[in-house]
Amino acid sequence: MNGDSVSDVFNGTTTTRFILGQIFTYTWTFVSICFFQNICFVIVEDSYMNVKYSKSYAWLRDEGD
Amino acid sequence: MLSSGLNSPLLSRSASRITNPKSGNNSSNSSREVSSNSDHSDHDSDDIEHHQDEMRRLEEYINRKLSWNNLSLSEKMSLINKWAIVALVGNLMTTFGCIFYLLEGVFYLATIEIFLGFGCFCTWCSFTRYFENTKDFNLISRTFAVAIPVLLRTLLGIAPTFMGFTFLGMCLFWPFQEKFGSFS
Repeated sequence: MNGDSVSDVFNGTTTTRFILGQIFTYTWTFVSICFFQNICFVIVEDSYMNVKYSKSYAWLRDEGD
Repeated sequence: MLSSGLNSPLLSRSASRITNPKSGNNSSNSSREVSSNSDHSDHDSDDIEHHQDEMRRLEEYINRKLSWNNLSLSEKMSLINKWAIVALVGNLMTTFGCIFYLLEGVFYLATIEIFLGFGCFCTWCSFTRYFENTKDFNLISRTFAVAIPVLLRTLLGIAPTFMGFTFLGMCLFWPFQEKFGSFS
């Protein structure tokens, strides 16, 4: 997904099949970095915000509402 | 047998809400509304019967005899101290790793390294439990605990796409054996 192996994969796939190799590598890199990775970041950030700004008795208030 | 500690005002209030969700917390109002609504239509009577059934089931749940066999898996898991298991595993692996290291001729060095490595890992991870009582120190571990279930569900949703890309890569680029030669 990230790192030096992207270059190796790009070189290998384009050597095997030039057009399809480019399409495959660009699509995979775009989808993984723009979607999957950011979704994971957002989930962790949202959990962090929930934990940071929630009180220890928040569950009691939620039950009482 | 453990006595049920669920007879709290909170639960009784939610029980009255289940009996008649349109009314507030006043039980006399709810009974009056039930009697007045019962003449209106079949739909209302079905609704009331449904809520009474829910109320009966809630009462059964609250008044149940608590024993190990009656508890659900999540309730059983909540009674177990997970950090103690981590510390126990860490100490056992460190101990056996040290014993194996003394008997180096009998056991392979690779096995000993695994025992010692995981033993140190579990021991250091178990130190986190001492931060649990301080809010600012255990922010990371609490974030971890909240995020991991959601992340696992998300990764499960992403997995088919991963598999699709994997098999596509294997089918198209198999001559590039270094990266696409095998499934792993």
